[in-house]
Formats: sequence, C-alpha cells, structure tokens
Amino acid sequence: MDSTHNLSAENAHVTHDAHAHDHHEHKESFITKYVFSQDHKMIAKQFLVTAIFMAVVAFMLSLFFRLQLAWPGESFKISEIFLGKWAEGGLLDPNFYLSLVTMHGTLMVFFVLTAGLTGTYANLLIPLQLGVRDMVNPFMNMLSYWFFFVSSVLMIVSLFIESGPASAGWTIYPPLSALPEAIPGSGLGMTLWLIAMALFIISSLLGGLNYVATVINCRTKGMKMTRMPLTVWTFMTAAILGILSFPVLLAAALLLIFDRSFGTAFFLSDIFISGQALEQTGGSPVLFQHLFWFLGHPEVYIVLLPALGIASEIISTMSRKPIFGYRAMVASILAIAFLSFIVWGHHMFVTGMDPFIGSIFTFTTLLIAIPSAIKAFNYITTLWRGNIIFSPGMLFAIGIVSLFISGGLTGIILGDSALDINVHHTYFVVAHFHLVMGVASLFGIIAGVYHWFPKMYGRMMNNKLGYVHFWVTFICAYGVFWPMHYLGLAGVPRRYYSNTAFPMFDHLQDLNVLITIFVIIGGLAQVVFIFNFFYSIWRGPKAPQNPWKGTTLEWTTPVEHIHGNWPGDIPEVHRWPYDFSLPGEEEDFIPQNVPLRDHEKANEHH
Amino acid sequence: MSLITILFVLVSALTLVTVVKLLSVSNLVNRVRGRKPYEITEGENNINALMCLFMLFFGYAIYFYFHFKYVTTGQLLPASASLHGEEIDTLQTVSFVIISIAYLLVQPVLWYFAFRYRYRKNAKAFHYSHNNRLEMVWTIIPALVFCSLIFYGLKIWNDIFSTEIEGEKITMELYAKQFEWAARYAGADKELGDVNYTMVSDKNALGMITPETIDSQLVLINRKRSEVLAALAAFPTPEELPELEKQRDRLNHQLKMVSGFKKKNETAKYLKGHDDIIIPSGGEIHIPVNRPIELKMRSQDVIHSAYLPHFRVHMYCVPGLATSFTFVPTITSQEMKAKLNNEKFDYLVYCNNICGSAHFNMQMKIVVETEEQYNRWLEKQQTFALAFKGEAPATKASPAPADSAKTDSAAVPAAAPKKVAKLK
Repeated sequence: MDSTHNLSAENAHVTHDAHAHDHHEHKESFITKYVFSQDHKMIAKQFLVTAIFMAVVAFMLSLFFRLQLAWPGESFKISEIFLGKWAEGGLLDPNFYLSLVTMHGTLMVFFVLTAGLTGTYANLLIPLQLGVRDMVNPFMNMLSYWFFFVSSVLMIVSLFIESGPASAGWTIYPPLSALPEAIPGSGLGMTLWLIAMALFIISSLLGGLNYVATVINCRTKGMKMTRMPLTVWTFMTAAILGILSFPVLLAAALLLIFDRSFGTAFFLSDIFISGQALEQTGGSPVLFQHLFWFLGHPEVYIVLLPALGIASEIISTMSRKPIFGYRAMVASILAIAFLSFIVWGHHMFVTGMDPFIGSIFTFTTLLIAIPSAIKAFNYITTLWRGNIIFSPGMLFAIGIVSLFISGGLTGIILGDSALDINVHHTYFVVAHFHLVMGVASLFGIIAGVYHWFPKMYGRMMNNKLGYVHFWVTFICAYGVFWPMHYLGLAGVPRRYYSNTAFPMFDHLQDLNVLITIFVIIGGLAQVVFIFNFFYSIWRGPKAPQNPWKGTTLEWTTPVEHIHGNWPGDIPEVHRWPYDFSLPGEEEDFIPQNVPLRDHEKANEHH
Repeated sequence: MSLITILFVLVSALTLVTVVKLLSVSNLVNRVRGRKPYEITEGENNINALMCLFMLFFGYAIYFYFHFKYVTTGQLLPASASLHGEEIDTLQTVSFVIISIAYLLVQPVLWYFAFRYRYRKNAKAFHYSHNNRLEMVWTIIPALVFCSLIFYGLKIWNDIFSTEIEGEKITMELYAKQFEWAARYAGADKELGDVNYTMVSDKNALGMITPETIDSQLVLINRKRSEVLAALAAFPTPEELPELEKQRDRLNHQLKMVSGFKKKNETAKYLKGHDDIIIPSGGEIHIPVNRPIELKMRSQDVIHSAYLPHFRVHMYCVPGLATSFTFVPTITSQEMKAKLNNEKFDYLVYCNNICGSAHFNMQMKIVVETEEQYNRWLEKQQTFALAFKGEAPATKASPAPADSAKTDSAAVPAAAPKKVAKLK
C-alpha cells in the first residue's frame, strides 16, 4: 500500500477504491501474501504464531527447571534427551539451570507477552476497530515483524551454542553479565542476547510508532477519541510507553556491549576475578539497574494494559452490558501509564540506592494501586446484572480480572520499601509478578485468540476444548503460583538451583513438588489449546460475520479477508462502542456504525 | 528407542486421532440438530456458571488451607530477631490483614456475579454505564487506605536507615565473592583498615592495605608480570595473544595502583588494618545481642546480596559501591534454638542475588551471643597482622612459637585462619 492510498483511509467518506483493491489482490503472490506481507491482519497472525512457538519453547525451559526444583539430584531422562550435555545422566547442570531461568524470563517477557500481545492485537484491531484500511506505514509494519523474527531466531540459536545461552537472569545485571569469567553464559550467549534484544527494540519501535500514528491520524469519520474501544486506548498507551522506554534499554545494552568488548567502565568498578584485578574503575552496576528498570517497569504495563483492554472489550460484549465507567477506565489507563514511569526504583530498594529516593518510589508505587483498584471494581460492576455468555474468551477475561486482583494485592507488600527488605528476590516476588503480569497477560493473548479467531481465520474454535483449556489452566495457574508466596515468606530465594544446602527449607520441599505437578498438568492443558488452534484454522466451522454480536467495527468487515478491510466505503461511526442492552431496543446491541435514532440524539452518552 | 518412547508416541497419536474424530462427530450431530456448531448452549453456559461458583469456594479454600498449614503453625520465618524487624513484622501483619480482607471480599463478588448473572433466555442486561458517586467511593477508600499504609511504611523505612542509633555500635564488614562470605572486625582501634581490590591475593583475600601487604603484593605482581611479558616475547600464537595482552594491561594497571599505595605509605595511614580481625569463609560471624551492628558490605567480583532473613536484613554487595545496613539483634542463638525447639537452628547470611553456578549454596553461619561470650570469642581471634605473617593461631600471650611457623607458613597462609574458626 502506498501512502496516497492510505490517505483514503483517513477520509472515510472518500469512496473510490473498491476496484483498486481487487486490482491489488490479483498481483499477490505466495511470498507477498504470506511471507513479506504488508497487510496488518497477516502481520498480526505472523506475530501470533511466532509468539505461540516462543511460548512453547519458554514453557519447556521452565519445565526442566521445575523438575530440578521439585526433585533435586534426581535423574530425568527427558532432560537428557532435550538438553544433551547440559543434563548429563539426566542431572541438570547448575550453570544451565541459570540459563534456563534467564531464557525463560527473556522469552516470556519480550517474545511472548510483548510481541505476542501488542504485535498481534494492536496490529489486528487498531485498523479494524478504528475503520482504517491499514496501518499508516505498512512497510514499516512489515519490517517490525521481520526484525522481531530475526531477533527470535538469534535468541533461539543462542540456546544451542557451546558455552550456553545468557545466564545472568533476564535482568542481566552486570558485572555478572559482563564477565565470561564469572559465568560461562556471559560469553557468546550474552553477546547474542544483546544483539537479539537490540533488534527486538527496533522491531518494537517500528511497530509502536505505527500504532500511535495510526490511532492519532487515521480514525474513520465520527470515531472521536472518546468513541474508541478500550482495547485501542490500551494499545496506544502501551505503544507510547514502549516508544519512550525501550530506547533506554537500548542505551543500557549498548553501554554493556562497550563494557564487555571495548574495555569501558560504565557499569564496572573494582573487580577482582579469576586471579586478576580488572582495569575498570569508576563505573556503577547500580546505574545499569536504573537504566534497565526505566524500561523494565513500564514494560510490565506494556504487557498488562493490552491484556486489560482485551478483558474490557470481551467482558462488556459477553455480559451484554456497556463497560462500567468508560471515562474512569480511560483515566485509569493514562494514570497507570504515567505512574509507571516514576516507580522503577521499587525494584532497587536494597541495591544500595539512597534510602531517601527509595521512599519517593514507595510513594509513587503505592499510588498505582488506586487506578488499578478502580479498574478492578469497574470490571466487577460490568458483570453485575449482565446476561453473561461464557465463551472461552469470556472465561479467560474473567480469569484476567481474578489474577489482576490476587497478584495486584501482593504488590502492596512489595511496593512498600520497608516490607520489601525481607521479601525482595524471594519466591514472593516470583509469585506476585507471575500472577499479575505473567499469567494475566498470557490470558490476554489467549482470550484474544478465542474471541477474535473468527476475525483472524474466518472460522470458529471449538468451545468445549476451550472450556477444558480454561478451567485446567486457571486452576493450575493458582496451583503453581499461590504456594510460591509461602516459600517467599519463609525466605526462600529465587534462582536457587536447589534448596538442599539449607536445612531450614527442608519442610517446604513438598510445596515445590506440588508446584511442579501443577506445572505439568497446566502444560498439558496448553496442548489442548494448541491443537484446538491449529485444527480450527483448517477444520473449524465457518464463522459468521459477527459471532459474538459485538458493536465494534471489526465485526462489520466481511469474513473473508480482503486487502483494505472493507469492500466498499469505510463505515462511519455514530456512537460509542458499548451500546449494549439499551432499554426499549429490540436487539441487545447496536453497532457503532448505526446512526443515532431521533430519540437518542437528545441524550447521547459520549 | 525404548519401549516407553514408542508407547508414548502411540498413545499420543491415538489421542489425537480420537479427538479429531470426536470433533467431526460433534459437528455432525450439531448439524443434524440444526444447531450451529459453535453455538454456546444454555447447558454449557450453566456448567461454566457453576464452575464460577466453585471458584468462589476455591479462592477461600486455597487461602485458608495454606494459611492454617503454614502461617498459623509457624512454618515460615520465626518472629524477627532484630529491633527494626519487629516493626517490619507489625507493618507486614497490618498489610496482610488489609490485602486478605480485600482478597476475601472482592474475589467472591467477582465469581458470584459471574454465576448469578449467567445468560437467561428472556433476561436482558441492565444498561448501566457509569455512576460517579459509586466510582468516587471506590477511588477514595483505596486512596485513603493506601496513603495511610504508605506513611506508616515510610516511617519505619526512615527509622531503619536513620543515622541516629542508641548505643555504641559495632562496625564490621561483610565481604562477598563467588561463592563465599568472609567477615572483618575493626579490632582494638575500632576502625576498619583500608582496603583495595588490587591488593587481593591468596594470602590477602580481602585486599587489606598494610605496609607488609603492599610489599608482598608488589613482589607477586612483578613476578606475574615478568611471566606474562616473557610469554609475550616468545611469539605467542594469534589465539593466545589477545589473552596475554589483556593480562599484561591488567597487571600494569594493578602495578600502578599498588605502587601508588607504596608512595603514600610514608604516613601511618595504612597501619589501621593491623589489628583487624578477619573471619575467612567457612568461619562463623559472632555478634553480641542488643548492640547495634553496622554491616558494611563489599563485593570482590559480581553483585551479591546479603540476606539475613531472621533479622529482616537485606542489602546488595556491589563491587565499587559502599553499602551498609545497621541492625540490633535481640535474640541470641541459644534463645532462638530454645524458642523454636530446634537444636539445629542457625542464623544465616545467604546470597540473594544471582551470582553464578554455586549461588544456591553461598552461606555463612551467624552466632548471636551475650556480650561476655562475644568478647571472649573476639579475644581468641588472631589479628590480621599476625595472620598475614603466618603466626600460629593463639592467644595474645604466645607470640613465641611464631618463629618456627614463619619459614614454612608463607605457602599456606590463607589456610591458617581457617583453623582459628574451627578451634572453638
């Protein structure tokens, strides 16, 4: 799509291009349609499938370290089959254990939750829900995916190199990540990690700039900002967060590359290792942590906000009710986004950072709880007196709210600097962020798959398998992460290869066994999902145009994908996206493109 | 391929085929009944609604099961053994009560609404888009609760890190390296001697700067340097070259630093370390009860973190950055053993920041005892000056036998203090 073409997307009332589209489609080859596609719907699917692959890899990594944690010293044939020399005789190597946790974190946070969520749904839904024919710059959009793809390949390749992948934790704190003498994974593995992340950041920026520009410039006629679905609000906000914070990580990565390869001392000082005193003095490892968490904390909301946006959309649609407190929801999203930039220090309360700064960060951190609470209450009120249809997508959306409440509440402990002293880096932290950020955001991806599958593939997924998938996954999510809180409160640190060196943790070992059993069951449930996903792509029943009776514009497009989304004119928007169950109406929903009736004009909502 | 693998593949394949067949059958049945295959029947919807109701109880069940199994029975950390830790414990209890109430109230409402307002054929949802008063209520209430928690928490935080402490404090150093801890006491002058990372050697694990260590270190560096220079002159292979050059540059830097100390050594500045007492890895840290202990942290290589959970103490050990944590232990090891009815109980410091392969086993025992016991223990420890010379570990009264040890002990000086720790 060239740029003049896009202008037509901005001016929804310009109606010249129905034929132009047919013309385009004739020229499409396999390569341009499926590989180097510039169509936002295809790019969304590319992101989704890549993210699912990365999720499978990342989950497998966690399986191996969970086996080790539950039964330390036990030999596992399966570990030897998959990990080879890293698990000789089925016994996991302690260095590779650290590689596993590092790569699990990296792949999940960046390659599954960031790319899988924003890459998929911002791409799919921003144009479809705003009435746009494609992204502002489809070519940049395509580049965004292919940078992500190359980055993914590098990350996967690093799993197979001789010295092992990066192993300094996903937060790659130097000096550990800077010195191959300190840990083998900080050799070539770390170099590949840094290059892959640099490419990932480029991908994220190309995508993010596109999303924001599209939302600001290209909305169809009548689509005021206050008529945008909450999904689009969250995608736009998350993209802005990414644009502002990812470059800081790039700077940190770049300085780390300098320290590693060119003898600079940004993060290194006063180090004596393997019998040698290093030349570097004057650098600060804590500086790296500031830079890392300046991205790291907004990153939490980059993955969480879109999940909450998806939850808003699905809960409203399937409850047949407008989302409660639309304006408060938008305000909360913006407040969370703003606050997310001034709380990063709560990851660093005990790193030697000045205690006074610590108290400022405590203050801002606990403030985030207020907009979060508003969101939780608004979801619950949306369910109240609804007429709820439990589609698998809806169940996952409710699951998000449940996890958001449980995981969010423990954040109040961790955000309080005085309490953080004793739970910092324990399993309490692992439990907290997996519930509120990890599983909740993963549920966002899955909820979106069930809900928008008909829009992506023109077919329906099987509901019964979806139900099995949800209930097993949901119970396992709590089964895995709930007990971890107690491990943390007992003082068990994260990233320990085993706890056998500490008799004081012996009586907690059965918790680790319990957790691993839930991990295995939960993993099997994902097989059901993946089967359902791929089976339905080819064999699922054909989808109707608007299976969930939604009001947003994506349900006005034809089931068959066409380049440019709408065959004729782009629909004009006349109302907000939540006109469900209006009193006195025949149908329980009115799509956004239906003009206001006379009696409505008098008392318009938004 | 073992039998189990073949069996596993067979079972998986069979399951797959069965599921695929079942799906086609169910699609067919739906078509015969004139129902769309993806339609959610009221029966299915009700089952899911019932599951939501079940989740209400599930949420309570996991909360109370773990609460009664681990929290009330004292399976987690025992009550704090330090003064500030008691305040942290109170704040933690208050916070947990608040979040537990929120959890126990809000989760059930979510699941109950999901169950109660399940789809009914003739029902219509209530169009309810906003209610400003209601939203104000649930903005203001959490805001008030969180603000009071913030100010309560900040008061404790500021107390912990305030510089005003009652009582005479003991300043000591906690030294971290892969994958062990060491400790250093200030000795008679109550001042920790100077240290520098370029001074670290086998004999001088903590990098102490004293006139003796400077001389010995210069000898060591010059020897290593001439070895490296010789290797460089002997036409190294292209693979060896960069590594040798790196070593040369590092040794040059180290030489410059250490020579610098030599020049400054005209003053008595570097004598403070003579009376320091070093507890090497494998030893025990002893501290007296009810005295403020200032732990100054130092790291030799990567970031470690000193976690003393029983005292609610936690601070990173960062190379190149001075960090510290001051606390007052309130319960002796003996009292704690009695209290927990566990003879094997030990206070520990362990590493809580990923630091390499043996991160999971980097610990040191801490003994809290009465002031008299502590003083008696301290008297028995050897000063650094003696230890460095390789004196036999002994009380202050026996410097004589050192002579015999002097000649052969240079080879194993680092091992000598270890015996001290075991002597007790």
